[in-house]
Amino acid sequence: MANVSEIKKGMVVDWKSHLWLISEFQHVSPGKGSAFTRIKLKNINTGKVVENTFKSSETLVFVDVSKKNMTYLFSDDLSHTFMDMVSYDQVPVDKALVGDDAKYLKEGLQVIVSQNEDKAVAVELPKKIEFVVGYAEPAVKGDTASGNVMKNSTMENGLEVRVPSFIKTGDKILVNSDTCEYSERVN
Amino acid sequence: MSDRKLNIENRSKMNTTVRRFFGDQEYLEVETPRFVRSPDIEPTLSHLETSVATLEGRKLDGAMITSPEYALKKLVSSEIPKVFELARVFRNGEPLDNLHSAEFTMLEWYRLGASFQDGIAETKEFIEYVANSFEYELKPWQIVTVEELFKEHCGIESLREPSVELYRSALQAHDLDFDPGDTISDLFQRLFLNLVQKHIDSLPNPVIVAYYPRHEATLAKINHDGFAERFEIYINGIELCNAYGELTDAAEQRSRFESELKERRKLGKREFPIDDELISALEKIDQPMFGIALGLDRLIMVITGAKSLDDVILFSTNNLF
Repeated sequence: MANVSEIKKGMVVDWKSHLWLISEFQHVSPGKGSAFTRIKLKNINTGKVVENTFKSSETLVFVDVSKKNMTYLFSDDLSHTFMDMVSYDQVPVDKALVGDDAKYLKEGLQVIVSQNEDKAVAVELPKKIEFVVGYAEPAVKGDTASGNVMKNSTMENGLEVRVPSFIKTGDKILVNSDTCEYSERVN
Repeated sequence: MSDRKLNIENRSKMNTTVRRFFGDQEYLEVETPRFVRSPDIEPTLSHLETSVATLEGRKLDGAMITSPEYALKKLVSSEIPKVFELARVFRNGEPLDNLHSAEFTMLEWYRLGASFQDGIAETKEFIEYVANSFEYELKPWQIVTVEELFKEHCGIESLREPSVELYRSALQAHDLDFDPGDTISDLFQRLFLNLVQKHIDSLPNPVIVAYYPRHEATLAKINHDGFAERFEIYINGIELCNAYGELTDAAEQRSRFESELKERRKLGKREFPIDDELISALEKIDQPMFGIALGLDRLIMVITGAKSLDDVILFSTNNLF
């Protein structure tokens, strides 16, 4: 048991007889009454996301998870498969658990997989992921001066990202995995 | 331009914009103390408590303000009907996250002779003025009452006679938890945060949420229909301000202060002395008064599209510690 005010993103809680991953939370201190925490919880079995508001002084049952560095290998109809970098075990993870983040997966991407009793409960992507630009629209002449003009581009794995006009096909760039926004060029 | 330089420029521009707007409306800019004997005693607030030791051996116990409200109300008079302050304020015991910092800037303004509706109009005008200066595209305003929101999202027909039972049964109907010890405000917040706020978050428009049930009045006046003259503004789901048709009834104010102190005692929080000067100042006020506290850092965040207060406060608590 621990206090709601101590929660962090990526923790797993046992609530209403299911395991839930804390995917987002926000503390709210209203003008009157107690402090509250709004939490987005992701059901580990179904991938369903619900939002619930807890009093910050309430307690929740936290579940132990172990975190392992793993590398993305491949996906099939049901799951994405990762390799444990220590034991070299292949670990399939339900597609529902990864959800929309799957668009960032590319061969060799290193992630952190949280497991509870050998069951994967969460996959954490690096904050910034390096991609090779598979295709970038050519820059339009005259656009470069302001430096703020963005254009469409597609990464090696099909991910679409808006990039500054100076980015060319074949460049390496970092993409923010929270916002899917261009971060910087890598040279 | 680096983000830091841009941010410094934006903050400077915001201050200039605020001063220009209120200057044009003939407000006087004032400075009030940060360190006081009687800070705001709302039960939820925790203060940065401290004391001054004098050379003569006196110890002055007090706290850093959580809002300049009391001092500003003391300054408002028939001679000085309009005041504003860009005040640094302090909160203790709150989370440090993208929307909270222990030290931040509150813009407050008070106007004697202004009704609650005048206040809504002026606040809209101010935010439109700021949006214009920053070339921020402000979508059309939506004004909604708390009662309308609770009717639509919680299935509560009327908030005229709010009660613990009314809120409990609405929570049960939506399969939401509550504690037996929850106060009426707690139950109200559970409904608001679970069922109403999601709707507000999803609106692209700036939303004015107005007329709170009487138990959420804090320092607001209760109108003839039994609702508190209080509004909050949300843009992109971020709460920007809290405004009141101010309570100017000195006796009522004293009794609210006394019940707030009782509540603080129950919560084990420090009981600061009641600000008698404020009570006497209210006794001299015989007109309506409008007042508002607006989180300036949050407004900068919204207007510049920043994701966190740490990106807009130059030396945020989070970055210092």
